Amino acid sequence: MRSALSAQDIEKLAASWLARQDAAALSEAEQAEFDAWIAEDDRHLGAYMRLRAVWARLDRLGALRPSSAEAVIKPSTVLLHWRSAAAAAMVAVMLAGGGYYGLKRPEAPKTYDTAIGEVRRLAMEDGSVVEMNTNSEVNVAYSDRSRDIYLAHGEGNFTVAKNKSRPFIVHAGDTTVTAVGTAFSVDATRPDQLRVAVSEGTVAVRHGNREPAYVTAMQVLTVPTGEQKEETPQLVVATAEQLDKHLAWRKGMLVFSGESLSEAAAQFNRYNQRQISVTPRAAAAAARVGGVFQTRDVEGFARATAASFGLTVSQDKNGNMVIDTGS
Amino acid sequence: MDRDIDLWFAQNALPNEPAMRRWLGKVASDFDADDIVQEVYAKLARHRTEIVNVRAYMFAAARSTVIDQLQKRQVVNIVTVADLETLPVADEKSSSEQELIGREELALLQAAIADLPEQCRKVLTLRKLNGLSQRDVAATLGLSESTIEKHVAAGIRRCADWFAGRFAAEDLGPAAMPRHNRRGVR
Repeated sequence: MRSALSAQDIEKLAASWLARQDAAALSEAEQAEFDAWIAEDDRHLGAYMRLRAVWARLDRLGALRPSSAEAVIKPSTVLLHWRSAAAAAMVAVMLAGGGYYGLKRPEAPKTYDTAIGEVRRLAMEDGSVVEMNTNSEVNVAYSDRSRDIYLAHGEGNFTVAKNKSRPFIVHAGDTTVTAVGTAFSVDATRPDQLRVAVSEGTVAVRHGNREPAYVTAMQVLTVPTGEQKEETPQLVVATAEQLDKHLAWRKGMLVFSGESLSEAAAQFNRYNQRQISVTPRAAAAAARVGGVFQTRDVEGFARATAASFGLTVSQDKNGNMVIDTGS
Repeated sequence: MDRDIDLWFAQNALPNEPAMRRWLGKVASDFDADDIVQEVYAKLARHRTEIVNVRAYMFAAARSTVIDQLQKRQVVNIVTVADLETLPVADEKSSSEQELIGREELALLQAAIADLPEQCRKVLTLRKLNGLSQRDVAATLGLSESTIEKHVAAGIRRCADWFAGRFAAEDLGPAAMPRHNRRGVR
């Protein structure tokens, strides 16, 4: 059946349905009406799927920053530029601040994941916010007694709404991080260690049968895992810059302050299909890397570092970059 | 699950849409391109898991849709039929277009958002960048929930226009303005 409506009118209806679904789950009657509308004409389905794709694409807005024009910044000017980026982010956070209350719709236990290069922000029903870094997966299991998040792999930052009677627990391997109301991140991307960075409040980290370790604001705890799991966790007091650096991914950025070229390339590789490899002799020739980069700007990073260190960059047909010495 | 499908469309179908529309403009200029695009997306939705080369599939689906509609017409323009045979199958050059990712896509998003009327832009930014629910956006902006829903609907359509390649992609930049708004956003 073809409806008599024009493509434009169909698109208008599809947009209304999508906006309605985005506002709240459809009632049973609405759902039936929607199903009937979709079944009525192929173009209804097509218009609807197309707008859904556009809507999903808008999630990448998080990667947009006012400073995106200056994707590559020389090390000497890092702090200045970084501050302006941080200020822009703060405005966004402040705008959001007033809103996290009175959420009523419960969230069913659910799995969320991010693709390579994707950063995703989940607004939880209790007002907490989970931000997922590239290539990550979390399972959310909220109950009346606790708020459990399972970090299957990857990295997350958690801004927890206070509720003493309902602890917020992040599980990663054999480690749990328990909070009642605070902000912290858990990085489970390395096989040999788990990193918990706390920017606000206190969390309790339990690992196997050990006594819990308490990590407070401006501290980073590194828990050895895998083969290193018998080693003692390391607690380090961090500076504001160091914490910012750990959390720069939330703003679509990578911050380097003295990493080796290979380490920096490995960080980029977490966010991009296009991989950078550094030949051993290039790694030996390169000094330490500093600067602020957009996580997706593989090429900018490769070219900037090559230019700074007198190295060459070549590209294979898949767009992967190899950094080598010229000779 | 649903989100995977949306991302599949965003990554595989949307980037090919401008080229498909350009081709339709050439060979089927007397057809409503929006109409054909909707048919193509419906076919994609039904056959998504069987498709190997999405770009080639989209062109083929567009072509067969045009032919279907041609057959229902009383008078058929011979030129149109001949042109339809020149199907631009996925060529090497197009792979860059297929991967409208990274900076280019961000520029497109940026332009699309910048182009929205102010209130609509605020709503979409709070909803998508700050991750607020529509209800919280309503509370934050002091507007009714139904107004927010209308802004979301209008904003999606307007952004979709950008992804369709309706606005010149070459003058993307901070000052990029659409030269021909097909429709206003209320």
